[in-house]
Amino acid sequence: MPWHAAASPIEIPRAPIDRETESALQLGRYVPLFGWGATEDEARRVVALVSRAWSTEADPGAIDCLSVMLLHPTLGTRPMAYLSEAIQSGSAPATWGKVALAAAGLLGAGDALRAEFGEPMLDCPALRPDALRTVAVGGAERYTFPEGFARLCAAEKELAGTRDAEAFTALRAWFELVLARRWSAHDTLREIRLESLPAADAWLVSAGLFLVGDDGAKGRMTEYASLALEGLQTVAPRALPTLARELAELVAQPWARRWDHLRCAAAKDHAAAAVRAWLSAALYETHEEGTEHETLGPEMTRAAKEARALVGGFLLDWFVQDREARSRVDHWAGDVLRIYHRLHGASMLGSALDEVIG
Amino acid sequence: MSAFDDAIDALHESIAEWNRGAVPGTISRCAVCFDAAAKEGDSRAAVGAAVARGLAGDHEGARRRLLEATARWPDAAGAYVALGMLGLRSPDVLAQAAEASWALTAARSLAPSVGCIERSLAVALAAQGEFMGALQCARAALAIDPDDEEARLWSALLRLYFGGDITSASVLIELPTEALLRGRSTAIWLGAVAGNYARGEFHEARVSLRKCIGVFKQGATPEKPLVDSARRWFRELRGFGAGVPMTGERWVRDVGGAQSEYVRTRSALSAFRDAIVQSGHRCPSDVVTVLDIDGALGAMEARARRGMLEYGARLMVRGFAEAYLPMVACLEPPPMEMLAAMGLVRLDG
Repeated sequence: MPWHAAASPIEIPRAPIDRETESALQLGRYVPLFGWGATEDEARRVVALVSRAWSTEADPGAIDCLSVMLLHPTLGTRPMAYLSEAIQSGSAPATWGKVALAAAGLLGAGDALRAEFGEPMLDCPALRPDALRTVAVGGAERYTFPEGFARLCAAEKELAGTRDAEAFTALRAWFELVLARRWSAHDTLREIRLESLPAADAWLVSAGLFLVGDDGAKGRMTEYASLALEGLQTVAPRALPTLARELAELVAQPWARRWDHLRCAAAKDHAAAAVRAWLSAALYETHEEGTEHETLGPEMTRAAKEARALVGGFLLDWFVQDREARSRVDHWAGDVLRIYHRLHGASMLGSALDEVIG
Repeated sequence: MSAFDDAIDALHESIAEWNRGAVPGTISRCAVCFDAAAKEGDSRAAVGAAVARGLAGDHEGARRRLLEATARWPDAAGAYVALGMLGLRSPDVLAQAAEASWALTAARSLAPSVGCIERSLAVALAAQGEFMGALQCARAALAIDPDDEEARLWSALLRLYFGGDITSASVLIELPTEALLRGRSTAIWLGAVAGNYARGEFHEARVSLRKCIGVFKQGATPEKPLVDSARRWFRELRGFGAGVPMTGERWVRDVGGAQSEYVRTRSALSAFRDAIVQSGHRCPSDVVTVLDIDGALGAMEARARRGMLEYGARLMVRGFAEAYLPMVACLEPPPMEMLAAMGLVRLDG
């Protein structure tokens, strides 16, 4: 008997999708992931569901159907909250939480759904870095890249000194290079040793470097994507060709993408840098016009404060006036982030498989 | 003599006795007389009562009364002129600049071609950050009265920082001598500071600053914010540096240094250009051509130059307004022509 027969056929999307399944999903007549509680059987059921959705004989719509099953209209995020509590109390292993997060990523859940699903896992110390990736790396869905960037910056600060610090620096730098067109982030990404990063993170860095035309970046993308998908071949055989097709689309027009990125970089408000240069020069101006007055404090004029407040934000660098080029880069970034979450989910699931299904 | 005439006398007496503010007894008498006249439904008296309170330091009370007056007599320019004038004499002038601009724009619509309204509107718009509009108003004021030193001051400042016209620095330097002869206060020397510094005359700029703030007592609490504000602006002026942005040796510093985003974006575009040239036909011409990249480089430079002048004006012209206008409000009474524009003069022929 195949191992994924552990899942009851009533609870998983049928192949092909029929009207009965569709109406069951619309009416909430399904058990969401970990809806039966934080049990081993439930962890196996989640793996089975994912496996069934990605199997070669599955309906193409099965992945979307299973994405709906991440949450339930009535229960909301409660199953995930219970799972999080069980992991924190030690009654469930952290691997089960990993399986849940992996499912959300691998299925290609949108930003909002993925964030809602992953939020309860932020309370588990063992899962926090992965939950932060699930919640914070996004913004393509509603063009909330600045919010995603702000969350990433906070995460990077929080994880400073841990073994995940470098990975979050890389993620933040990717946002800065691709979406804010900051070349200092290009230096950061080039300095990072890709071998020290998880495969999905290394793939994302390679994608950023591919965009700006770095030699060999395309090859590294393929290499790290294969590494992330390793171990998933037997469980989700359809994942590899699907992702290969998406990856091919991503790298299809390197000249056009690089040109769009450069157009955005050229359209940035470069004059804004001047305000910072002038004001920092002003602070070094300590020589007074005479000695009869008390030394001035570092406080600036209101005009200077207001001028400085206008510059330096991610929003200013991202939201450039060249709308056409910005929109194309944003779409590309959205596709990259969706694949990133698939790869991250795949590598998480691959690492948890042994423990869950033995 | 009517209560209104009494009030006008008291107002003029107060202006004649002006000593870093109105004399409290005189300005109180003025307000009481205007209140009495306003009871008879005279719009000018209502404006006068508000102005008297504003000059006595009750800016919020004056503003409230003037807003009521504009609602009651929307076709009378006096209340709008007063609202604009008091906004520009407020201690936090940048916060009041938008309302002052609005009021003076309304006043200009009701009473066109009045030099003092055009000039005040130029000041309000400059403090608000609407530099192009400010320059147009300053020029309109100069077309009405070419000897208007305040309009010349603001026109030259805007030409220097917003227009990048270094020749206007000489106007700023020459202005104080003429203006002092016409009874203006030493605050006008602050404009010369800008002119001297732009021309790289650093010692002269310091001397001008001393002339500007020298009238204030050292460490005197009520005057200390005025002095400090001027010194802060001067410190920022030194950070801004001599000349105008992106000219001569300033260029690299203004764009943020050799490792700035501007310089690196230019390098990235040049590298992309080289890559296209070397690629032959691998890069399709409907995607990008060498000409497209040259166009992007040119547009980036033009935008950066224009943006830098805009930011420079935000920093230096608005900072100037923040330091200069409260100093003028302390040292000088409202000009008589402004009072005339509010109808606060006796029309006895």
